[in-house]
Amino acid sequence: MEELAKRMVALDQEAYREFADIFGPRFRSFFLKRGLTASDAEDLAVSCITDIALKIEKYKSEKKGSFVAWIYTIIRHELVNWWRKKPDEVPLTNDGLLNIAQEDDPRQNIDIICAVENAVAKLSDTDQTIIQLRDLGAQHSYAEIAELLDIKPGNVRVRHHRALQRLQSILEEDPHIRKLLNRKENNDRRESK
Amino acid sequence: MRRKKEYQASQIETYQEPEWFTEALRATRDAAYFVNPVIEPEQISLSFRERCRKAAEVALILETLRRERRRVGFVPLSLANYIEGLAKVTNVSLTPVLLWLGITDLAGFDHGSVKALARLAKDIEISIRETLVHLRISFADRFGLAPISMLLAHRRSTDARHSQLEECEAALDQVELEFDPKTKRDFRQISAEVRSVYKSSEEGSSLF
Repeated sequence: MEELAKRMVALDQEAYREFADIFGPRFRSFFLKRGLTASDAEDLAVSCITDIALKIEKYKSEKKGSFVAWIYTIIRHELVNWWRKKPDEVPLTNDGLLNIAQEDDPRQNIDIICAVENAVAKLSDTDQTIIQLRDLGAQHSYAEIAELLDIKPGNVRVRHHRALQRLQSILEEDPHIRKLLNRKENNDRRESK
Repeated sequence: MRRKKEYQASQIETYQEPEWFTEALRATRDAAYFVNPVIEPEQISLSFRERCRKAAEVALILETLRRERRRVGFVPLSLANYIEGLAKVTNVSLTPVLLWLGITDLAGFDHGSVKALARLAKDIEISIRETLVHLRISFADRFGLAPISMLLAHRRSTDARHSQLEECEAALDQVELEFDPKTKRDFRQISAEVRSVYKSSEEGSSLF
C-alpha cells in the first residue's frame, strides 16, 4: 500500500485506477456498515475517492501500514461530516463516532493504529495469530481459533487473555498512547471539577 | 492443577479492558477490515466501479493541473484560457473534469456555471484573488477591449515592486471605468458567487 501511495504521488495513472478499484468497494462497505443507504454509501464513497486522491501529497509515509490508517482516518472524518449534515438521522451504530467528533486532531488515529500494529508484532507468533483472529479480524470464537491452531479452546482463552494484557502493557509504554492517555486524564479531571 | 485453572478462570473473568484499549483495538480492526473486507463481487455493480474510476481520473487530472499551476503561477489570461492552457501544456483532457463539475462551457458566465467554475479554480488551487482577476480579464475580453497583455504592455510599470498580478489588477481597474452599470452589476454578482464558493471551502478545511 505504501508503494501505491508513492505511485499516486508520482501521478501514475494506473495507480489511481488501482486506488479506485481497491478502495471504492471498501469505502462503500464501510459506509454501509455504518448505516448509510446503498445509494448514500456509494455517493460518499465516490466523493472520498476524489477527496483522498487529491490529498495524496499530504500523506507522509512514516511507518508501515500508515497509508491505510491515514485513509481510514480521513473517511471516518468524512462520515462524521456527512452525519452532521443530516441532523434528522441517527447513526445506525455509534462506533465511537462521538469520540471522533470530539477529537481535535484526527491524525491521532493513525498513531493509535500504528502503535497497536507495532505492539501486536512484539507478541509471539501464536499470540499474534490469536489477537488477529479474535480482536483485529473477523472476531472468531475461541472454538474456531482452537480448531485453526489445533489447540484446546481453554488454552486459546488463557493465551488470549495473557496476550491482551501484554498488549495493553506494551501500548501503555507507547509515547503516542501515553500522550493520549495523559490528555484524557487531564480532560477527566477538568470535567470532574 | 485444578486450583491453577480456577485461578486462571477467575483472572480472565475479572479482567476488564480499559476503554482506551478497546477503542484502540476497534480502530485497528476497522482499519484492517478496510483493507481486507470480504466483498462479494456481485455487491459491486459495474456502474459503481466505473464511477470510482472516473472519480480517480478526475483527481489525477486536477492534481496534474495543480502542480502545473504551482509551477507557472499567475498568467494574465481569462479563466477559460488559463485552465485550458494548463491542460494543454500538461497534455491532459479537461473533459472528465468538466463533466464531473457539470461545466458545459468553460467560458460561460451564466450564474449556474460560475459556481462550478469557481469550484474548478479552487480545486486547481488558484487563489480567490487570482480567480477574480482571471474573471475580470474574461469580462474585459467580452467588452471588446484590447487584450490584457497589450494593456499591460501599454501600462508597463517601471516599479519592479509590482507583481504581474498587481499590474494586471491596476490595468483592469482602469479598463473597468468604461463598463456600463449593468456589466458592473453582473460582475459584482459573479464575484459574490465566487467568494461564496471559496468561503464554503475554507469552513470545511481539512486537517489533512
